[in-house]
Amino acid sequence: MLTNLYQINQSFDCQGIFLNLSGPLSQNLMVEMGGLMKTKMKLEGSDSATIRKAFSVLVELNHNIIHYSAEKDDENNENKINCQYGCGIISVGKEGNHYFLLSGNLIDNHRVKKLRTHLLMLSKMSKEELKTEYHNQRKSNPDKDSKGAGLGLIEMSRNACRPLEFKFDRIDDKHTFFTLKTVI
Amino acid sequence: MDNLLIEATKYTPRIFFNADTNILEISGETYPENTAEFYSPVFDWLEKYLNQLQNQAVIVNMEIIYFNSSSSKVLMDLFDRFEDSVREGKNIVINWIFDKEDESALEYGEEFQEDLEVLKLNLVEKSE
Repeated sequence: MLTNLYQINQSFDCQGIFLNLSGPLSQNLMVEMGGLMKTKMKLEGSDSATIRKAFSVLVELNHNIIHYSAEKDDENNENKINCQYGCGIISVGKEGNHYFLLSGNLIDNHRVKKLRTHLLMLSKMSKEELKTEYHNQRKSNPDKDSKGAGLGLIEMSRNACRPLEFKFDRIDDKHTFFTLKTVI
Repeated sequence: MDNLLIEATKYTPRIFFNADTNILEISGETYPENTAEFYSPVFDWLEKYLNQLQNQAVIVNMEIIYFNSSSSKVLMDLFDRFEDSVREGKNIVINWIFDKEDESALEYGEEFQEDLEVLKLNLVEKSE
């Protein structure tokens, strides 16, 4: 078991990941994680705009998991803490000169199609088109499935230096594991 | 009517809406877990305030360092509400206050400006 933990740690190191939260997530955990991330980036010479972009992505990822992870509010879930808080994994790392944020969480299978379409659409947009999309969405009423403003993924795309990368791994008849990578 | 005072937390701004001076202030960061819940009393207060407002000049000072995407939507809703009042003849001006070291805060203000039609939003550099 102790060996396994060491291997997990090594695997994060290999991928350049220096901060990690996994399991039930909360607003306060995210705030603390954000503080550490900001401090580290500052010590490594990042400018305030880059730090702000990374923090913004962290906030959106955390809210996505808190609001949309499949375990959240699932009364049949035996793991009550995940049901109450929302559950997933958020990692922050660095590759070359760029910081990146990863998130992973379970979502219901029926949400995959719409989410994939939305992400594909955003991935093809220029910065100018993303800005227009953001403004249009902000002016309109949010989608009925949205618990926020439906702006989170657009905001993340605007903060990223290249299109968001995403992956859907089907787990079983109910759930898919959704992975999202944002490079700042 | 009563004033509205909500003290700041790590992720919600300080809100001080003064019905006597007609100065409404929002300052700090805004990224609450549940945006609708946090802002619900703010909109309730505002509705009552705008309904009793005559032609007094209202100044809205906003000094927001960071807002998340759902707060961005709320701020837009807030501006839309003020725009409606301005169309009804009310005298309301927004001061978007930014630190000159903080380029993003200025850009955020400019982006709100682009979406407003009749409500005046001044970009005001913070004085030390």
